[in-house]
Amino acid sequence: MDVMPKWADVVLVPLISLIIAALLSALLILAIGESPVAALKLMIEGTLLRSSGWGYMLYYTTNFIFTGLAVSVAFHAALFNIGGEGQAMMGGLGVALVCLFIPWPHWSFAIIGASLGAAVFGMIWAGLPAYLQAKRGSHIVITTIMFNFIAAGVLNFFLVGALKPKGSMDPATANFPASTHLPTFEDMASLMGFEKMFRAAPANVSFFLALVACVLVWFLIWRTPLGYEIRAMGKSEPAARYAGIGSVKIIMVAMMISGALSGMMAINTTQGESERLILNFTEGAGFIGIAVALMGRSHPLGVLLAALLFGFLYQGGAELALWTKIPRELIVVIQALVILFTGALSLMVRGPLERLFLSLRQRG
Amino acid sequence: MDFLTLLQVLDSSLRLATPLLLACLAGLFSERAGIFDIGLEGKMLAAAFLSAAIAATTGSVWLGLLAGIGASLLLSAIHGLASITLRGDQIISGVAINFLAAGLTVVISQDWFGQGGRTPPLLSGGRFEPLSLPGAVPAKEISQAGPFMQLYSELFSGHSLLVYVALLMVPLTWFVLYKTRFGLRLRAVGENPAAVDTAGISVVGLRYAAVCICGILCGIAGAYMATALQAGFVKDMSAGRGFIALAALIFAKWRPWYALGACLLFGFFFAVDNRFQNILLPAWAMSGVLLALGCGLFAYVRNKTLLDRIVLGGLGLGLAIVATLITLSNLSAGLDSMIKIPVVFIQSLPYVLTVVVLAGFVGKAIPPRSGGVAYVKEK
Amino acid sequence: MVFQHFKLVENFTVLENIVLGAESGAFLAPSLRKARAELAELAAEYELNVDPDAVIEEIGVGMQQRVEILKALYRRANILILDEPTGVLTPTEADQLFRILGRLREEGKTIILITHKLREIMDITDTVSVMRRGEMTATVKTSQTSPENLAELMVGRKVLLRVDKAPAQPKQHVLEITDLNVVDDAGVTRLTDVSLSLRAGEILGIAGVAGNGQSELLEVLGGYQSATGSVKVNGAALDLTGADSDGQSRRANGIAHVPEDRQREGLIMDFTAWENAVFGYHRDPAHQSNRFFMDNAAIKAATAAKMQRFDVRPPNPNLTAQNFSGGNQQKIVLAREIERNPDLLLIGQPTRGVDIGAIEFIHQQIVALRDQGKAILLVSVELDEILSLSDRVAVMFDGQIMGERDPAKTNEKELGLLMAGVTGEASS
Repeated sequence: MDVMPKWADVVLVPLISLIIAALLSALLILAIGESPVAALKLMIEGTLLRSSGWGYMLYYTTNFIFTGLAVSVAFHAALFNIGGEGQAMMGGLGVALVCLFIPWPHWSFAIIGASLGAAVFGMIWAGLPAYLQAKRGSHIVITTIMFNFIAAGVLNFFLVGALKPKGSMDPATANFPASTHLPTFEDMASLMGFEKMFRAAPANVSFFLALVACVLVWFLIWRTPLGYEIRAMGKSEPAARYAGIGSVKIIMVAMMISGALSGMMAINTTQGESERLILNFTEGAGFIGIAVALMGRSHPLGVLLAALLFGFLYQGGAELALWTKIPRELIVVIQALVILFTGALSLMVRGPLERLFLSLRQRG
Repeated sequence: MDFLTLLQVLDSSLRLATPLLLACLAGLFSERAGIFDIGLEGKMLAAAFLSAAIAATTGSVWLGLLAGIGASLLLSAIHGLASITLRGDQIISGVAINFLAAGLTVVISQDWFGQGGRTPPLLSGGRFEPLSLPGAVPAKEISQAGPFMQLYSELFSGHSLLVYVALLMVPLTWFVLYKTRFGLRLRAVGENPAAVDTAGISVVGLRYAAVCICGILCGIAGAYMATALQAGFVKDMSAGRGFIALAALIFAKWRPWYALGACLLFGFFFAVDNRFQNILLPAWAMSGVLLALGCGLFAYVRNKTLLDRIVLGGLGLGLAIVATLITLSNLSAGLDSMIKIPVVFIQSLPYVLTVVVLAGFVGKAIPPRSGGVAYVKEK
Repeated sequence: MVFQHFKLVENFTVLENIVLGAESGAFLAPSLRKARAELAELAAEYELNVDPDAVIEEIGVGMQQRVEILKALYRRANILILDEPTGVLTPTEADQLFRILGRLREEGKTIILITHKLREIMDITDTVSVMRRGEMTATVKTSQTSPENLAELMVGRKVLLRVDKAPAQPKQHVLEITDLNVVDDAGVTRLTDVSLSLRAGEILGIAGVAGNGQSELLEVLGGYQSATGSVKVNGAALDLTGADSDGQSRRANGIAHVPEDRQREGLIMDFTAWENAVFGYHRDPAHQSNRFFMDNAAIKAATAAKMQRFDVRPPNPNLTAQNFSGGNQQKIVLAREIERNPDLLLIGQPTRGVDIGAIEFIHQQIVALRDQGKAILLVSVELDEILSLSDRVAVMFDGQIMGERDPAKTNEKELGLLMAGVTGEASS
C-alpha cells in the first residue's frame, strides 16, 4: 500500500527539504552576522519587485529549466547524468559554429539552426558515455564527470586557437553577426509599447524555448511509447527485459535526449546573452540542474517551479553579494543542502512523514 | 632536456602527486568497503580551508592539520550517515558534499578574513617547510654535484613532511588491507556484505570505519594543499583533484601500489604541463599516430553491431579527419615541421585515460562488487 | 549453515574465505598459517580436498560448496545444515559430497539436509521430516519408508479444485520444441534436450518442483533467455540467440506470457493499472491516438472495462499496481495477456499468492481460452492445479522432461515420483 498519498510524496517532501535547507541557511547567515530576514527582504526587492530583477531571474531560470529537464529525463531511465556542464559546453560550440559560419537572414532562422547545432553537439557528448555504459558497463557517473573536464579542455582549445579572431587576446570567439542576435525581454517589451522594462536584463526569447521544451518533455515521457519504455526501464530492468524493451537502446536514447537538452542551454547563454562563445559560460548550471531535477521530482512542472526558485536564489544571491557581506557562494550552500535533503537524506524527511501518515490513518 | 631538468620535473611531479595520492588512498578505503565517494573533492577543499584558517590564526601548522582533518571527518560523517544509516543515494550525497564544501568555505572564509574568499598567506610557522635529508646538497650547489647526489638532493630530499607521510601511506595501506584482519573484513564487506554479515561481523561498523579513514586521509590531502603546496587557501583550490584522484583510483584498479603509480603518472602530466608549454612533434608523427588510431578503430568494429560501428567508427572517422587536416595544413611547410601539442591535450590526458580504462580497453576495471549499494539485512 | 546461494567472497582465496570472521588476532599471517594447517588435517580426514590458494570465482561450484562446508567445520560446527546442496552439482560431485557427509556423520556431526530429491533422501539419510506449506507434516525413519510413501507425504491429500471442462479438441500443432538446451551465465546447464509439442485447443501442464528448468523454459519462449535447439511457433522458427529484447518479436509471433514473478517481471509496481494494462504492448498502433502519442484516455477506458470483465477489485484503473492484492494483480496481468488473443499463452504459477475466489476465476479463464482454440503452456508447482487444468502433463526434473502422462490416467503419487527424479528404471 502507498503509505503516503501521492500529493504528499510529490509536494511535501521537497517542500520540507527546502524549509530545512532554508533554516540551515538562515543559521549560516546569522553566524556571519547578517539578518536572515533582512537578507530575504533584499533578495525579494532585488528580484521580484523590479522588472530588471525578473529579467535576470528568468535568464537564469531558462538555463536551469534546460539542465533540470536534462537531468530529469535521464533520471526517468534511472541514469544519473552529471555531465550537464560538459554537454552544455559542447552545445555552445555547436551554437558558435552555426552562428559564425552560416549566414542567417533573421534570428528566427538562426535560432532553429543554432538549436539543432546545440542539440546535436550535446547529444554526441552525452551519447559517448551512454554508449560506454550500455555496451561496456562503464559507470555513467564517472564517465560523465570525466567528459565534463574533457569538454572544458576542448572548449579551451577552440577558444584560444581555431575560433579566436586574429589579434584578440580574449579566449573567445568573434561576436556573432547581428542577424543572429535574439531579442531580449527589453526588446520585446519595447515592441509592445512598454519602454524602460527589463532594462539591460539578459532574459531573451530562449525562455519561451525552455517553456516549449517543458511541454515537449512532458509529452515525451508520459504520452509516447518511447517515454513509456524509458520509465519502465527506469523502474524495473527485469520487467523491461520481460517486455522486450532493449536496455541498450533506452540508455542511449534517454542520455542523448538529456544531452540535447543540456546543449540547448547554450542558446540562452551564448546566442542570447553574450552573443559570442566564451570560456566558462555554463557557470555551474549543469550542476544546479541536478538540484532542480531532484526538487522538481523529475516532472517538467516541478522542474519549472524549482528552476524559478533557483533563478530567484541566483539573482537574489547576486543582490546580496552587492549590498551585504554575504558572498554569492551562499547560493551554492543552499543548492547543496537542497540536494542533500531531497536526494541523499530523503529518508530523514520521508521516514517521519510516513510514520505521521500511518498514525493518522490508524487513528482515523 | 638534461638530467637536472628531468629531475626537477620529477621532483615537481612528486609534490603535485601527493594530494592526489592521499585522496586516492582515501577513496580506496571507502570504495573497497563498498561506499562510493564522489565527495573527495569537497572534503579536500574543506580541509584545505580549515587548516589554512587555523594555521593563519594560531600560527601552528600542526593545529591546522588537525583542524583540516576535523573538517574532512565532519563531511565524511554526513556521507556515512546518508549512505550507511539512511541508505540514501551515495552519488547524490557525494555531489551535495562537494557543493557544500565549495559554498561554505567561501562564505566562512569571507566572513572570517574578509579577503574575498581566501585566507591570509601563511608565514613560516604556519607552513610545512621542505625537509632536507641528511647529506643533501643545497639548491645553489646542485648543478655541480654528481648525478647520484643530484638524484638524492633534488628528488628525494627537500620535500615537506606530508609528502613523505603520503609515500609511507602506500605500504601502510597495503599492509592494513592485505595483512590484517581488519583489512580482510573491509575488503570482504565491499565484495559481499552478506558473507560478512553471516560471519557475525558488523557491516555498518566496518563501513563507518572505512568512511572515517577516508575522512582522515582526505583531511591530510587538503591540509597539504593549503599549508605545503601553496601558502593559504584560495577559492576552489582543489581544482578537480578529487575527481582526478577518483580517476587514478579506477586506473589503479583499486590497489595501493598501482595507485601510487597512477598518481605519480598524473602528477607527472601536471608537472609537464606547468613546466613545458611547448612540446613539439613532427607533423607526420602526429597525423600518423592519429591515423593509426582511427584505422585501428575501423578494424575493431568490422564485425560488430550497427551501434558499435556508428559510435566507434565515427570516432575513428573523426581522428582520421584531424590527421588529414594536420597533413594538409603542413604540406607547404613540409611534413617534418614541428607542431606544438596543444596544452589542453596534456591537461586532458588524465581524464581521457580514465575513460579508456573504464571502457575496458586496458583490461577490465572491476569495482568492488557491492559498491554503491546500501546493505539491507535479509530477514 | 551452507546456504543455497553461497556466502563467499568471489575474489578472495579459499583460505581467506575460511578465515573471514574466525581470524585469530589482528594480523592475518598467523590466522592464515593456522587455517592452512587445519585445512590439511580436515582434507585428510574427510576427503575435503581443496586448493587453499585458489580464488573462489575460478573454482567450480562443487569446490565452492566444499569451501562452505570447510567454513563450518573450521568453526567447530557440530551441526551442519545444507540447503539444496546438489542443485548445482553433477551426479559425480553429488556422490562425492555424500561420501563426505557420511564420514562427517561417523565423526559424530549432525547433518540436516534440505532437499526435494527422493533419491538422495533414501540414499543417505537416517530420518526424514516432510514439510509442506510451512508445517512439518511427518517425521519417519528412512529405513521404514519408501519413495512412494514420501512422495505422497510431500504432495499431500488435498481437496482438488476440479474445474468443469469439456474434453479437449486439439487441432494443429502450435508449438514444437526440439532439443532445447540452456546454459546460464554461471555455466550451469539448466535445460537438457527438452522436446515438447503443443497443439491448438490444448493445455499442456508442466509439473515439477521449482528450480528444475521450468523458469528457463518460460524465459526462452518469452524471449529473454538464449538457448540452442529449435522452437517453432505455427511453423515459424524463433530466434533463440538474442537475450536482450526479443520479447517484442515473441509477441509479434502470437505468444503471450504471464510470468512466474508478476511483481518483478509481469508488472511495474509503480505504474498504474492502466499503464500496466498495455505493458509489453505499448507500441501497438491500436493504443496510439496518432503517430506520436499513446491514447491514454482510450487505454484507461479499455482498462476499466477489462477490470469489470475480470472482476479486478477495486476496479480503478488509476491506482498503482502496489495497491492491489496479489490475486487482483494477477488478474490484471492475465487480462492483459488473454485479451491479446494469442495463439500460444505461456502461464507461470498462475495462482501463487492468489486468494481462493480469484483462483477459481483464473482457472475458468484459462479453460475458456483453451476452448477458443488457443494453445496453453501451464507451469505450476501445485500438482492439483496441473491435474485439474491440463489435458496433458509433462514432468520436469533437473532440466529434463522425465515423462508425459494423461492426467485422467495418472495420480499425484506417480507424478510426485517423477518430480523427485525417480523414474521406473533403476536410477543412474
